[in-house]
Amino acid sequence: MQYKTKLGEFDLSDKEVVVFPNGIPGFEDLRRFTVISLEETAPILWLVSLDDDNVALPIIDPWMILEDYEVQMSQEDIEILKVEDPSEIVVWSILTIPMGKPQEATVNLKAPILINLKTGLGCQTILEKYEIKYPLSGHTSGSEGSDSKESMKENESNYGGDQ
Amino acid sequence: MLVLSRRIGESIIIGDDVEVKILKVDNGVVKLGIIAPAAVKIYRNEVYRTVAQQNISAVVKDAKDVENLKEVFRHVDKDR
Repeated sequence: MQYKTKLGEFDLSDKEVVVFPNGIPGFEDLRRFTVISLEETAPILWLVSLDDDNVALPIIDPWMILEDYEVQMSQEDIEILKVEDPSEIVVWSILTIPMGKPQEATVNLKAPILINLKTGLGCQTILEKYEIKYPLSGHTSGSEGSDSKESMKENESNYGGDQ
Repeated sequence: MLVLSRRIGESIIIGDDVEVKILKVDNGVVKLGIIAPAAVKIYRNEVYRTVAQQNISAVVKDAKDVENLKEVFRHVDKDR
Protein backbone atom coordinates (compact mmCIF):
# COMPACT_ATOMS: atom_id res chain seq x y z
CA MET A 1 0.00 0.00 0.00
CA GLN A 2 1.13 3.54 -0.80
CA TYR A 3 1.73 5.89 2.15
CA LYS A 4 2.42 9.60 2.07
CA THR A 5 4.94 10.54 4.76
CA LYS A 6 7.16 13.41 5.81
CA LEU A 7 10.01 11.76 3.90
CA GLY A 8 8.02 11.16 0.74
CA GLU A 9 5.81 8.39 -0.56
CA PHE A 10 6.58 4.79 0.25
CA ASP A 11 5.04 1.56 -0.90
CA LEU A 12 4.89 -0.60 2.22
CA SER A 13 3.66 -4.11 2.85
CA ASP A 14 1.55 -4.79 5.95
CA LYS A 15 4.59 -6.38 7.57
CA GLU A 16 6.46 -3.09 7.39
CA VAL A 17 3.75 -1.20 9.27
CA VAL A 18 4.38 -1.02 13.02
CA VAL A 19 1.32 -0.46 15.19
CA PHE A 20 1.76 1.47 18.44
CA PRO A 21 -1.43 0.59 20.35
CA ASN A 22 -0.99 3.59 22.69
CA GLY A 23 0.72 5.91 20.24
CA ILE A 24 3.74 7.59 21.82
CA PRO A 25 3.74 10.38 24.44
CA GLY A 26 2.85 13.64 22.72
CA PHE A 27 1.39 11.72 19.76
CA GLU A 28 -1.11 9.46 21.46
CA ASP A 29 -3.43 9.48 18.43
CA LEU A 30 -0.81 8.31 15.94
CA ARG A 31 -0.85 4.53 15.82
CA ARG A 32 0.84 3.46 12.60
CA PHE A 33 4.52 4.04 11.99
CA THR A 34 7.27 2.55 9.90
CA VAL A 35 11.05 2.62 10.12
CA ILE A 36 12.70 4.09 7.05
CA SER A 37 16.38 3.75 6.31
CA LEU A 38 17.88 6.42 4.06
CA GLU A 39 21.37 6.00 2.73
CA GLU A 40 22.04 9.73 2.95
CA THR A 41 21.28 9.93 6.70
CA ALA A 42 22.87 6.65 7.86
CA PRO A 43 23.42 5.67 10.66
CA ILE A 44 20.31 7.65 11.52
CA LEU A 45 17.04 6.02 10.59
CA TRP A 46 13.52 7.41 10.72
CA LEU A 47 10.43 6.57 12.68
CA VAL A 48 7.81 7.90 10.33
CA SER A 49 4.11 8.29 11.06
CA LEU A 50 1.75 6.78 8.52
CA ASP A 51 -1.18 8.68 10.06
CA ASP A 52 0.27 12.20 9.96
CA ASP A 53 2.63 13.13 7.16
CA ASN A 54 4.14 15.92 9.27
CA VAL A 55 5.67 13.56 11.79
CA ALA A 56 9.08 11.98 11.27
CA LEU A 57 11.50 11.32 14.12
CA PRO A 58 15.20 10.63 13.63
CA ILE A 59 16.24 7.47 15.50
CA ILE A 60 19.49 5.70 16.20
CA ASP A 61 20.77 2.47 17.68
CA PRO A 62 21.37 3.48 21.33
CA TRP A 63 24.32 1.09 21.66
CA MET A 64 26.13 3.25 19.14
CA ILE A 65 25.91 6.04 21.70
CA LEU A 66 26.36 4.11 24.93
CA GLU A 67 28.03 0.72 24.72
CA ASP A 68 26.67 -0.58 28.01
CA TYR A 69 23.13 0.72 27.54
CA GLU A 70 20.47 -1.45 29.17
CA VAL A 71 16.76 -1.69 28.53
CA GLN A 72 14.59 -3.34 31.12
CA MET A 73 11.15 -4.04 29.68
CA SER A 74 8.26 -3.73 32.09
CA GLN A 75 5.46 -6.27 32.30
CA GLU A 76 3.26 -3.74 30.53
CA ASP A 77 5.73 -3.42 27.64
CA ILE A 78 5.85 -7.20 27.30
CA GLU A 79 2.05 -7.34 27.15
CA ILE A 80 1.70 -4.45 24.68
CA LEU A 81 4.34 -5.88 22.36
CA LYS A 82 3.21 -9.51 22.84
CA VAL A 83 6.81 -10.55 23.41
CA GLU A 84 7.57 -14.24 23.26
CA ASP A 85 11.26 -14.04 22.55
CA PRO A 86 13.31 -10.97 23.54
CA SER A 87 15.45 -11.38 20.42
CA GLU A 88 12.43 -10.25 18.38
CA ILE A 89 12.69 -6.78 19.92
CA VAL A 90 14.59 -3.93 18.35
CA VAL A 91 15.39 -0.79 20.31
CA TRP A 92 15.74 2.72 18.94
CA SER A 93 16.47 6.04 20.59
CA ILE A 94 15.00 9.28 19.32
CA LEU A 95 17.37 12.10 18.42
CA THR A 96 16.55 15.74 18.95
CA ILE A 97 18.44 17.99 16.57
CA PRO A 98 17.94 21.70 17.25
CA MET A 99 17.32 23.63 14.04
CA GLY A 100 20.58 24.89 12.63
CA LYS A 101 22.57 23.54 15.61
CA PRO A 102 23.31 19.88 14.88
CA GLN A 103 26.27 19.99 17.25
CA GLU A 104 23.76 20.37 20.10
CA ALA A 105 21.89 17.20 19.18
CA THR A 106 20.76 14.98 22.05
CA VAL A 107 19.64 11.37 22.30
CA ASN A 108 16.66 10.31 24.39
CA LEU A 109 18.10 7.32 26.23
CA LYS A 110 15.40 7.50 28.90
CA ALA A 111 12.46 6.67 26.65
CA PRO A 112 13.47 4.23 23.91
CA ILE A 113 11.20 2.99 21.15
CA LEU A 114 10.67 -0.77 21.30
CA ILE A 115 9.48 -2.66 18.25
CA ASN A 116 8.55 -6.32 18.10
CA LEU A 117 9.58 -7.42 14.62
CA LYS A 118 7.47 -10.56 14.81
CA THR A 119 4.16 -9.03 15.88
CA GLY A 120 4.67 -5.62 14.26
CA LEU A 121 3.81 -3.91 17.55
CA GLY A 122 5.63 -0.96 19.06
CA CYS A 123 5.69 1.21 22.16
CA GLN A 124 7.81 3.87 23.80
CA THR A 125 8.84 2.85 27.26
CA ILE A 126 10.22 5.08 30.02
CA LEU A 127 13.23 3.76 31.91
CA GLU A 128 14.25 4.55 35.45
CA LYS A 129 17.80 5.24 34.39
CA TYR A 130 19.32 7.47 31.74
CA GLU A 131 18.96 10.99 30.50
CA ILE A 132 16.25 12.25 28.23
CA LYS A 133 18.76 14.67 26.65
CA TYR A 134 22.00 12.75 26.47
CA PRO A 135 24.45 14.88 24.48
CA LEU A 136 25.56 13.30 21.26
CA SER A 137 28.93 14.93 21.29
CA GLY A 138 31.34 16.20 23.90
CA HIS A 139 29.93 13.98 26.62
CA THR A 140 32.38 13.81 29.51
CA SER A 141 32.68 11.34 32.36
CA GLY A 142 31.81 14.15 34.76
CA SER A 143 28.23 14.36 33.60
CA GLU A 144 27.83 10.60 33.81
CA GLY A 145 28.17 10.94 37.57
CA SER A 146 25.09 13.12 37.76
CA ASP A 147 23.33 10.60 35.52
CA SER A 148 23.42 7.83 38.11
CA LYS A 149 22.46 10.21 40.90
CA GLU A 150 19.38 11.19 38.93
CA SER A 151 18.31 7.57 38.49
CA MET A 152 18.72 6.85 42.20
CA LYS A 153 16.56 9.79 43.05
CA GLU A 154 13.86 8.51 40.77
CA ASN A 155 13.97 5.01 42.14
CA GLU A 156 13.26 6.42 45.53
CA SER A 157 10.38 8.70 44.67
CA ASN A 158 8.72 7.01 41.72
CA TYR A 159 7.70 3.69 43.17
CA GLY A 160 6.53 2.17 46.39
CA GLY A 161 8.81 -0.10 48.34
CA ASP A 162 7.76 -3.36 46.72
CA GLN A 163 8.33 -2.43 43.10
CA MET B 1 -12.21 15.07 40.85
CA LEU B 2 -12.52 13.14 44.07
CA VAL B 3 -11.01 14.93 47.03
CA LEU B 4 -10.49 13.13 50.32
CA SER B 5 -8.37 13.37 53.43
CA ARG B 6 -6.05 10.67 54.70
CA ARG B 7 -3.79 10.45 57.71
CA ILE B 8 -0.26 9.07 57.76
CA GLY B 9 -0.40 5.29 57.52
CA GLU B 10 -3.82 5.30 55.86
CA SER B 11 -4.32 4.37 52.25
CA ILE B 12 -6.73 4.40 49.35
CA ILE B 13 -7.50 1.60 46.92
CA ILE B 14 -7.86 2.40 43.21
CA GLY B 15 -9.64 -0.26 41.18
CA ASP B 16 -9.10 -3.82 42.36
CA ASP B 17 -5.40 -3.93 42.84
CA VAL B 18 -3.74 -0.56 43.30
CA GLU B 19 -3.15 0.71 46.82
CA VAL B 20 -1.70 4.13 47.57
CA LYS B 21 -0.53 4.65 51.12
CA ILE B 22 0.49 7.91 52.78
CA LEU B 23 3.89 7.21 54.37
CA LYS B 24 5.10 10.61 55.45
CA VAL B 25 4.11 14.25 55.29
CA ASP B 26 6.91 16.68 55.81
CA ASN B 27 7.00 20.38 55.07
CA GLY B 28 4.67 20.24 52.08
CA VAL B 29 6.18 16.99 50.71
CA VAL B 30 4.03 13.86 50.74
CA LYS B 31 5.75 10.50 50.50
CA LEU B 32 3.53 7.84 48.92
CA GLY B 33 3.87 4.09 48.90
CA ILE B 34 2.24 2.46 45.90
CA ILE B 35 1.40 -1.22 45.74
CA ALA B 36 0.39 -2.17 42.22
CA PRO B 37 0.76 -5.10 39.82
CA ALA B 38 3.93 -5.09 37.74
CA ALA B 39 1.90 -4.39 34.60
CA VAL B 40 0.68 -1.04 35.94
CA LYS B 41 2.97 1.78 34.93
CA ILE B 42 3.46 4.53 37.44
CA TYR B 43 5.02 7.79 36.35
CA ARG B 44 5.32 11.12 37.99
CA ASN B 45 3.15 13.27 35.78
CA GLU B 46 6.06 15.50 34.82
CA VAL B 47 8.14 12.53 33.59
CA TYR B 48 5.49 11.54 31.05
CA ARG B 49 5.02 15.17 30.02
CA THR B 50 8.76 15.64 29.61
CA VAL B 51 8.92 12.63 27.28
CA ALA B 52 5.95 13.98 25.32
CA GLN B 53 7.60 17.39 24.96
CA GLN B 54 10.88 15.79 23.91
CA ASN B 55 9.08 13.74 21.25
CA ILE B 56 7.35 16.84 19.94
CA SER B 57 10.59 18.80 19.73
CA ALA B 58 12.36 15.86 18.05
CA VAL B 59 10.03 16.01 15.06
CA VAL B 60 12.04 17.20 12.11
CA LYS B 61 10.63 20.42 10.73
CA ASP B 62 12.11 20.48 7.28
CA ALA B 63 14.38 18.60 4.95
CA LYS B 64 17.30 20.88 5.75
CA ASP B 65 17.58 19.16 9.12
CA VAL B 66 18.33 15.94 7.32
CA GLU B 67 21.40 17.46 5.73
CA ASN B 68 22.48 18.73 9.13
CA LEU B 69 22.51 15.20 10.47
CA LYS B 70 25.67 14.35 8.61
CA GLU B 71 27.37 17.09 10.53
CA VAL B 72 26.10 15.58 13.77
CA PHE B 73 27.86 12.36 13.01
CA ARG B 74 31.07 13.98 12.06
CA HIS B 75 31.12 15.13 15.70
CA VAL B 76 30.44 11.63 16.99
CA ASP B 77 33.17 10.06 14.89
CA LYS B 78 35.60 12.62 16.17
CA ASP B 79 34.74 11.94 19.80
CA ARG B 80 34.73 8.17 19.78
